[in-house]
Amino acid sequence: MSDNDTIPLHPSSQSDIDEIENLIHASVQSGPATVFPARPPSPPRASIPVSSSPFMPSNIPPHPPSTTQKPQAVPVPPPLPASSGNGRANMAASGFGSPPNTLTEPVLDTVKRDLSRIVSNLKLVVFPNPFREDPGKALRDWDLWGPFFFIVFLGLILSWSASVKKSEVFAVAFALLAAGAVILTLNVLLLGGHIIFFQSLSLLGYCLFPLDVGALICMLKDNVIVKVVVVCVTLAWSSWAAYPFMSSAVNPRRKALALYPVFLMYVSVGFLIIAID
Amino acid sequence: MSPSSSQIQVFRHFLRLEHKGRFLVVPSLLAMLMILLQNLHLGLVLMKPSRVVGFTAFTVAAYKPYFDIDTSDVLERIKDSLFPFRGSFNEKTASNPDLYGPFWICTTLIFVAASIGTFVTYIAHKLNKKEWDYDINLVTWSAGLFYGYVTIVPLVLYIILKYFSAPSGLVQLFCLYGYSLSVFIPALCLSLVPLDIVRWVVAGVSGFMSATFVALNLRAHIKSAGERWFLIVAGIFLLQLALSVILKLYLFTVRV
Repeated sequence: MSDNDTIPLHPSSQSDIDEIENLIHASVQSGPATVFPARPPSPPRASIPVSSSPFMPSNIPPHPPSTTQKPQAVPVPPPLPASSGNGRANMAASGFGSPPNTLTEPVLDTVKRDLSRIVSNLKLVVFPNPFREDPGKALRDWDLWGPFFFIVFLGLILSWSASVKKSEVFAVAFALLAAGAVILTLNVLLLGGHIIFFQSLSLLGYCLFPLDVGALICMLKDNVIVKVVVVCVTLAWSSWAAYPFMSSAVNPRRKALALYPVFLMYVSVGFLIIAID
Repeated sequence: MSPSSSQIQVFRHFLRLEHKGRFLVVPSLLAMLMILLQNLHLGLVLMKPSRVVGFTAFTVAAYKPYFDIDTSDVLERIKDSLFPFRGSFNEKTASNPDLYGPFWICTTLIFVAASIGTFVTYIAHKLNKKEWDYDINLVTWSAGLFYGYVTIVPLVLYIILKYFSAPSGLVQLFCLYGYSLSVFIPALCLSLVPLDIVRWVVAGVSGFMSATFVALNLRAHIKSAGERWFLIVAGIFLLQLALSVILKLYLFTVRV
């Protein structure tokens, strides 16, 4: 399976290709063992193809396989930034035992697979289900697209609802949510808790879903009482969703220290939703 | 064997400004910055006898000792800060100063200040039947104020105390200042009352409590600094009072 490209590759990609080839050989020899224990590749993830297709390294946008498919993806605007990004993200993902052709699959397949992963993660985190008590099992297959969509969506809704300083509102909302998720995760780590950094970011992003719904309702209905009620309900829902993961990550004597900042962040976001009109 | 004694000499020399002072401002500032950074690093690393060597200020593990605290400890320290006349806070936290309290008290204060300031202007505008728009600058402004105050004032105080040879740990100063701001949270909530005189009284009382908390805790520590301790303590006291007044003026001056 060695590379016989006639097109000269980018100098940095050759070492990447060698490394990945070695890993593929090793995994083929040792059987289909997963390489990353925290993320079993349940849907077949893309691997870097080592065939002779013109392979571009991950920091250059993929050209030939996707350009022919791009017009298909255009009429679906929200996943469009995801489609080109999904190709790249999947290229860089794990899964060295899977068939090497997910880069050449239609973009719609990639989009559908990622969307279904977002939906399944959402169901695990935000809605009642039997896995909630065991956080390690629940968000095994975490991803960052879902949180990204939810944060940007919330920022956009707040920005649309605002009558003045729209761009500042979006900036503050986005910064608050993104920096807040990072700071909350660091807080748990510093308190001596055991979580995986990106898994926690993913979880906090998914728990924003109820607040997204609340913000949408508040944008459509302009009554203050309705807003307060809706925000309180969705706030409680968000906090309930985040509670088992955060509380099981730390020492029980420090549980409140880890949970209070989460609550504070959601309350401040809820307050922003009420106040922006 | 303090490496900073010679640096202190250099620093004092620059400060005396015997030469034409103007072109020495930048080098003296640079010297101050160097001393500060070196002492900051030394202070943070030497505070807890740990096995870290080298410049580890960017790892999570370097700051873990400052978050080694339980819920009950944090609550107890907040309760202590509400009684300013005991003056025993510094001794109690000397062995285990934490950064959790200061950071999250500041963050809570930012949120409370922004929300109450917004609410006050909302009520005032609605009472006068005027148009009201949410001012997002309240959030950013109060964030800058509180984070800046709790970061810069202890740093400057640390440098001044080193200069007067009464060194206090930097993290202890952060801890002290962070917990001293906790009294502003109930004060801001009480300032919801729409009477201006009530707001001034609340601002004055809370500023006074917070300032005495910091001053008394520091006084016991720096009495050994020599004849200048009273100036330092008075300066700190006035600074905290000024913070309270600025808060009151910015958040609760309603221009309808």
